[in-house]
Amino acid sequence: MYLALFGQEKKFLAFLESNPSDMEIFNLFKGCWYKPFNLNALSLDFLEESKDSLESRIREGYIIENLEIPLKDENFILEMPSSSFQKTIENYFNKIYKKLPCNMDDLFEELESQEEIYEKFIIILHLLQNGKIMYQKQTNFIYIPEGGKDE
Amino acid sequence: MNEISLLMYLLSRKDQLDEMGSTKEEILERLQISGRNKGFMFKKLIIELSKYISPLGLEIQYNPLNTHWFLTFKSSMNDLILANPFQDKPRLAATLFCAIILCLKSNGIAKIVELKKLRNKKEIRDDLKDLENLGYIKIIKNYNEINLTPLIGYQLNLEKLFMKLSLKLNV
Repeated sequence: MYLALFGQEKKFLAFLESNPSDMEIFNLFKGCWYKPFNLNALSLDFLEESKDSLESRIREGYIIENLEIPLKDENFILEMPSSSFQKTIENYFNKIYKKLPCNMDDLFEELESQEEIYEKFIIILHLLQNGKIMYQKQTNFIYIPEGGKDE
Repeated sequence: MNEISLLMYLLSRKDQLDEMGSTKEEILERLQISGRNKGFMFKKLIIELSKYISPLGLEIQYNPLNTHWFLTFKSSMNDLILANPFQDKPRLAATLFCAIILCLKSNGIAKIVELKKLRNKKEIRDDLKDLENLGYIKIIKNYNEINLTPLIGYQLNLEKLFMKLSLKLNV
């Protein structure tokens, strides 16, 4: 059932029936391992006690004050973007390359606004155009071409 | 106590070797979230917590074998902390890979005879015993079958593994 999601079940079996070497299969596992994080000390009782002790330490409420910033019209400077578009593209690439290969939809998963999705989509188009990433239509995967930044 | 504390507890708990974290239903129940938007609220909580724990080198993952959400160290750190349990045993890794494909193809159970055929080996009993001792599979002796335990879903990014294979086969 899970394999069917990838639509590649028959291809996977055909690959295994072609008698690949142990090392070839072993290499597929590279970069796919997790190390689970378990914290046995973190129990509900512990959290309750921590909360109580933290609350008892805060004796005074926080004071919120207005911050006064003097306006100096004569020094007004038009704000320019801090980095060029090329730099923006590179920064985005550096942010996503560890995720690759992945489904294209995954790149938009955490974005909350339409504006952000549009901006990142434009950057992805630029990255595709300059060959930093590739798109596979059959699987909807984005990946780094061979010889590109190694995983 | 806030949602983050409770989520950290629910996602980092380990009841047995092959049971860590919590299901979506358990999380929603403990946080007392219900109603039409509970799915959206759950997704938002997971995303918010991901951002919160990212500087600590942690991330949230999903185990498709038992539908539990759990915490892992970031994938970029795995090379440093030697997450690969088959470092010098490619033979075992290959047998496990065949077992994963066969089990996921047929509702979690695979026949040993089919596995042997796929591995193209005369004998795979030792491999299966080793994998059982490591906690990845259970051998159902009377039926000559095996099934996967949820453990491999906690240690291996199955989605990424299948993506890598899809790319390899389609390029």
